[in-house]
Amino acid sequence: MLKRFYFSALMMLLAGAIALNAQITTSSISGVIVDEANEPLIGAVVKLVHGPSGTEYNTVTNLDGRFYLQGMRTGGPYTATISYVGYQNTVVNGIILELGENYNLQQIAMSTDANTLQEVVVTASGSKFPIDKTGASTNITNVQITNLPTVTRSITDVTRLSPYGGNGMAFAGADGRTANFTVDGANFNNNFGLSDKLPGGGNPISLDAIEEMQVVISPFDVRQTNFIGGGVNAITKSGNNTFKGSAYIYHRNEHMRGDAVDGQQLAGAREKDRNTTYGFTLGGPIIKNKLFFFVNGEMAKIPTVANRWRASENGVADPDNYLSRTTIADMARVQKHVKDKYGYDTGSFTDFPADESNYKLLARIDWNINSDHHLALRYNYTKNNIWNAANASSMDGGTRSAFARASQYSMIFANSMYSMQNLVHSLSFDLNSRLTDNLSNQFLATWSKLDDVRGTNSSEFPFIDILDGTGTTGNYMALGYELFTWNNAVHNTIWNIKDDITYYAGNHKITAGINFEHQMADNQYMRNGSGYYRYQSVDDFINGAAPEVVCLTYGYDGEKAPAARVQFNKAGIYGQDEWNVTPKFKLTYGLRIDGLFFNNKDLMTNQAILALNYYDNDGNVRNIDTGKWPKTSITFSPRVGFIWDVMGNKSLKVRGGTGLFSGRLPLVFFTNMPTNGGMVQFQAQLNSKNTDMSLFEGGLVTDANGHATIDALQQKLFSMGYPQTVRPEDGTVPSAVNGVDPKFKMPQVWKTSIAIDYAIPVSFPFELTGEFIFNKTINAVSISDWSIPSVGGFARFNGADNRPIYPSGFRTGTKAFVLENTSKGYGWSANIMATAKPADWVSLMASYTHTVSKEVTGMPGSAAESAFTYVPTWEGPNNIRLHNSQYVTPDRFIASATLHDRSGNHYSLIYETWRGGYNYSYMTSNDMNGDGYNYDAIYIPTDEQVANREFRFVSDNDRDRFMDYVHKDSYLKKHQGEYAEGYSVYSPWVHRIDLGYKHDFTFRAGETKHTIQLSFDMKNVLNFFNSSWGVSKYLNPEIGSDARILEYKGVDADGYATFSTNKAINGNTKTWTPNHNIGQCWNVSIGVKYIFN
Amino acid sequence: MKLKYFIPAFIALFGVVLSSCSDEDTMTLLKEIQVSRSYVPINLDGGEATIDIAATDSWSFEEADIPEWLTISPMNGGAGETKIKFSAPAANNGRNADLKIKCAGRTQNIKVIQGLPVVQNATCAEVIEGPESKTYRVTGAVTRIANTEYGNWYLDDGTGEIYIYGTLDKNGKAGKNNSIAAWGIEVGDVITVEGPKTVYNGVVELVDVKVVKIVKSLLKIDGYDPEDATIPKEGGDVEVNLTCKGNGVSVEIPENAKNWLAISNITAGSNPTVTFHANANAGGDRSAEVIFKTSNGSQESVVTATIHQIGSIVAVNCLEFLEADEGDTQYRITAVIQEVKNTTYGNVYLRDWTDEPVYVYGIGAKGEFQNLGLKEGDIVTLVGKRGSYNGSPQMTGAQYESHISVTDISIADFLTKPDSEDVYYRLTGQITDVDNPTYGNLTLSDDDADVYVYGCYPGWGATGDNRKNWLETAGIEIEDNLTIIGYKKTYNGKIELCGGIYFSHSKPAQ
Repeated sequence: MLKRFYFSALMMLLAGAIALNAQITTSSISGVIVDEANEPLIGAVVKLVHGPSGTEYNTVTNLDGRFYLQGMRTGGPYTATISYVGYQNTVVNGIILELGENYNLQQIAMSTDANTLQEVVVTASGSKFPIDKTGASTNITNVQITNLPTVTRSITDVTRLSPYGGNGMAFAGADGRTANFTVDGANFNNNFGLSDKLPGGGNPISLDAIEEMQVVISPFDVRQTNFIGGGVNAITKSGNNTFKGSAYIYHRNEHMRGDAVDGQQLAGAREKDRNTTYGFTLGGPIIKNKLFFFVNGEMAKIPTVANRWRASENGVADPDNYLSRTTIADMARVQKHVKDKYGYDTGSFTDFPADESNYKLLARIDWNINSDHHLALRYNYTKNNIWNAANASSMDGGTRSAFARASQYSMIFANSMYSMQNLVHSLSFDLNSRLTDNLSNQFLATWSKLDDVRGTNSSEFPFIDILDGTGTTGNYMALGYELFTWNNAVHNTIWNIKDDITYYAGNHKITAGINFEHQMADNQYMRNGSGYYRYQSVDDFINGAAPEVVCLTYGYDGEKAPAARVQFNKAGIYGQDEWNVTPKFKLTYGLRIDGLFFNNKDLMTNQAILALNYYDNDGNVRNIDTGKWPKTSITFSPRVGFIWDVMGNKSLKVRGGTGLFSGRLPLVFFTNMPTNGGMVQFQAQLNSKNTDMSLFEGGLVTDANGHATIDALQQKLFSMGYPQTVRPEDGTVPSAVNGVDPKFKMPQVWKTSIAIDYAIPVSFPFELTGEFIFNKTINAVSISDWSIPSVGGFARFNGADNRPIYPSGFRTGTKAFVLENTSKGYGWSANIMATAKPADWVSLMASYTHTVSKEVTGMPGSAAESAFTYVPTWEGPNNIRLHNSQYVTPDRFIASATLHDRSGNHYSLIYETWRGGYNYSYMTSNDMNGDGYNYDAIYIPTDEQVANREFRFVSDNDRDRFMDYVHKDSYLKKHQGEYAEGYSVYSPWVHRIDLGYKHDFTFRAGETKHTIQLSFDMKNVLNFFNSSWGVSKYLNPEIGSDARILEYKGVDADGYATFSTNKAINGNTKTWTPNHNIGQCWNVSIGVKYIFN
Repeated sequence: MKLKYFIPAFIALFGVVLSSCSDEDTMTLLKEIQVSRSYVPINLDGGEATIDIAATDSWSFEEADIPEWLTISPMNGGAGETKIKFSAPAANNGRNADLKIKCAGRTQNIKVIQGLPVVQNATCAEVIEGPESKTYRVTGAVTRIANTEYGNWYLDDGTGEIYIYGTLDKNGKAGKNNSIAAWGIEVGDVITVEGPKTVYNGVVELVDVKVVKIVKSLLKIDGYDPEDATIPKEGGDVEVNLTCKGNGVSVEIPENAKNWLAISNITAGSNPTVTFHANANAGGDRSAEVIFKTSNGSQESVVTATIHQIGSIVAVNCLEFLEADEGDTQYRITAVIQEVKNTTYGNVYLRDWTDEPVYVYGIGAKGEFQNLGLKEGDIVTLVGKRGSYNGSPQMTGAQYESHISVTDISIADFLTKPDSEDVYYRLTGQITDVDNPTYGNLTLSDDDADVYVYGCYPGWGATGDNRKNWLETAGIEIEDNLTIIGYKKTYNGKIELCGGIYFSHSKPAQ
């Protein structure tokens, strides 16, 4: 008994070992084995077995008595068995490995009790303290994911468990488009960045396929890269020795949500809006202990009608019943005509494609080749599909109709509808090997194809508008391949290979690796890519009269799919040492070197742009070569991390680190350059002003087989002298030039963090963590307009608000938006978190985070001009001052409780409260500085400046109302005497409670356990009880949709700016009112899930 | 490094990083040249202002930018600090100047302001009376929109109407800016604009006005049924469809139209329809400008609509035409072109037997007069409306119907022409004998030949007794030179000019 106690006491000692930090698809474990005299045992055999799958890992201790195992399956429970000749075997049960984290097994002292050969069995601690980590990260297990209340079943519902999350993919105040999301190591990012949605329509992978997720903010492991704010690493489920499966249905609809905010009914809240998700999972052994499979399939159907309009019998429109004036007879006539003459099927005019759908499929094989080699293969497919009617009325080469193509005035055919498809294909090959007891290796190869493409049921055919024949440009009928759909796609293909080798030597674990990534992203957009004709009337079309307009966009030099494309390769090499300096102190230090190599072959210089001269602030000439990407750049990312076990008993840890991280940039900011360079495609637009349209009499242009192909029309245009090729000297100057600075580097940030973990000495796991992270921007992304000269020489207003006045015609030439770097920017986050597990059936967590992030631009939008001119400023867009990031939620508190009882009930409650879900900027209602952009920050005068008439109003009434409002508004009164900072007016606290409830009905049939699980997930429970609760507030609409509270009214005779203020502004104006939006209401999802084993 | 130093060193690192993050909130200035003030005010009554300039190199003002009224001293200088004095004499109205100082390839902009340009609030009447080039601010209703691309329209405030020639868009841009659509200007809106006055072809205009305020009309005419708002000659209805945001619509028919136009129905609601009725029209075309009014208690809006009724064309002589009321009635006149004022448009004086010339302001389209080959002396039949200009009656919208071409000819040649009552000639000669003073039978002679004129009547269209005593009325005597129009006829072997239409006469030279 005494020996047991002695042993347990030893167990409390922290092992000096520090193992590898984060890895993206696997876990690791390390420990020290000593004898009773606390001397290292050399050559002790350590065997780890993953219980569910029987996967086995073996090693022996080294000269220091240490062992390391790398590349292991996450989760568990694992059983560790340590044996040494002459010593009792020691068995440690219940080890759970977390994704990307090292499990530091307590120091194990082997006993030499020769009298008994009984095993010593201990159970591993349930606390998080064995997990070695230096920086900020949060692991979320499959059990937590299952219990979390979610209605939309999205990844971001899960990542909010990170103290730095809660706002989509924006972590720690960084743009969500720059977060790095990987699944089994494969890139699942919206790399192109036209929106901030994840690929596959926002949900690229089913939550039921995820084993574990890790949200990393500042991991000081050199293998982690590709993000600025945060990264999310997810791994998928694997099969085990037991066959396990599930089938589930989740449903939500318009009756399962609130319909009022603050006592006021919302219009349309009860309109049909349903979503049903069906899915299954199945996993099990193919060969026991050796080969396993796991599959998941999921399908969601959202009943939708994409086109309600139908043709009428009598030619009389009835908008209330969606009847168009277009007659059935005319539709049938045209349908038959094109079938007979061109062999083209228009599709039905009574039955149209409709429902939105989402399909997901995942398959995974895990192969324990032997105890030294483990291979995982995973394939994932997602398709999200939404149908749309043909574009309403856009067209080129003529006057646009006032009538939509599908409306009471006009009809389309089914094959003129188009779909928006978000596609994900992803493969991952992950081989973890143990080459010797001291040497292990991971080889990871992944491939992802993330495409957003338009689809159609039409065969190749031009798009044809037929007008109503009145000569008034009224649409009447449209048919053919939708005019903006041909080759309209965003493609993104990434493949990535990395190999990490790890070598253990004494107190050191040395890791070296290489990484190679290839990215291709393109944006294809051809207006009228399949050809476009417009006829005056049905008779004109059928009788082969000359069309009014003919258009075709085609690629130069026979390129069938012309696109603005960017391709680059990224090669990384890195090395790292994890050094157990003393038993209490571990130091990690390493260096990562990345090279970024662009491929210029997709570009062609536009000489006309290159010839434009722009001047920098020193008067030197700068030119923009749209035929070149940035030069190759090398970035160095040194990192240092440490863990200090202060007391030596794991009750108090101080950890932290510092290092450089390089991240991503939405690739659209690159492709903007070729998109606007005019060297990719030619847009032919023919009408009577430029062409003898009688050349197109006699019907559509066809090939020898009578088919109206693109090629036939293209050949006709060539015969008329339209260009087939383009040379740099053919370029013309566009209305605005987009360029990339040759010295441009991907964003880079210097992160430094320090944290204290404290285990409160109670009988159950109860831990407190305080963490502080500081970020300094090394290279951030910004854009400047090279055609704007320095504002330093502009005249300025007199008085307190002495911003520059842009003189008329201030630009020195064509607008030139150039992607550049800035080193301005910093931020910090402070977090306090408590976790406790007072009993087996209850887990509690509470966390408060304060975040500050200052940047020059958050790059709003995807066009170059919007990315910097939409940022509030007082000196103009080239002189934006640091301001709070638009992505920051400054204060956030989250608490969760998960409870399970013995009757099969599972409860999960989340309380979340935050300040600043909406952030605003106090601006003038007009363009005060004359820079051409209406984003002018106001100057907030002090009372003294107003009294001294250093800041002037057009009337005393305006002055009094404005200053009354300033004195009342918490932001304004704190910042008198300053220019208002962008995005810094935060909406007040909102409080939300979400509830997840599940009940299991379990029964056994033979060896198999069957469970029927009913689930009820409710978000914003408080709102269910009172429609004013749980509702976020936003800017009072009386003030406006933007906080534009001053209007510049011109200068007075003293050269002072004068202002008036919005009529709504006075001392009683409320800044905030409840947001009357359906998203603020409670909503519920119900589900039923059958599970076996 | 020893552990006890590591943590303090790490914390020190935080301090270093933190301290590197201050963002200066100071203004951006040029290195090469800086000024103590770049917006320089000078008193309207004349005066001066000084600024300090600090330059690293020689500097000079761009002379082309400096207006005559402004004196700058010095105009250039070298590196170092310099005081610059701006002075200007008193000014009547505010003015300003944008100046540039060049230094080492950089430009420092300076704005000089001397008082504020004053805009005068005025009524339309005051604008019409007031001096040109002055900037006025006027509030009135939009009565007509003439051009939507440039923003040309008419503004009426009850004291008069002025023409708005060009409206700036919301960015202050003039020209082809589609400003009517951009501002959403509709007839009936009450708009406050300001801009400089000019007079063009007698029309008082405000040019390229800035829109200060728009009060949307509570009333809008959506359309008419029939679309041309015209009641047929046989009588019938016109419906006027309105959108009304006020409390009900009142309709006023002008007094002079009440005898033929009446309201037959008004529907209620926010889209009222007002139906007007007229009985069959025995007279000429007619129209009435009806007025719709509504009010919401604080604002009143007025729109007008013109209702037409087609009528007969009234045949009149010149005197009757001149005595007719102005309006849309169509009148037909046949008379002689007494004088041509403009051949391009066909502005002419017509004269018939009533001896009351009618001025015709254009015949048909531009060029039609010439294309028809019309000329002085021809007998034309025109249809047009009784209009006026500056109080003088005239025929407007005249349309050509027919004419009799009149050929100038000598008496000798006239005698050789074949007889025809359809071919008219104009002869000039001296009266050598009067055979019948009542009808004006006389002999007309020139140096070569004589011809007998069988009747000299007062003008075209004279019949019965109207033909009599013209020689006496007009004071025509023997030896006077007479120009007369008529046709050739041989009666009992004697060649005559018949149907003689007096054109003009003159006394013999003394």
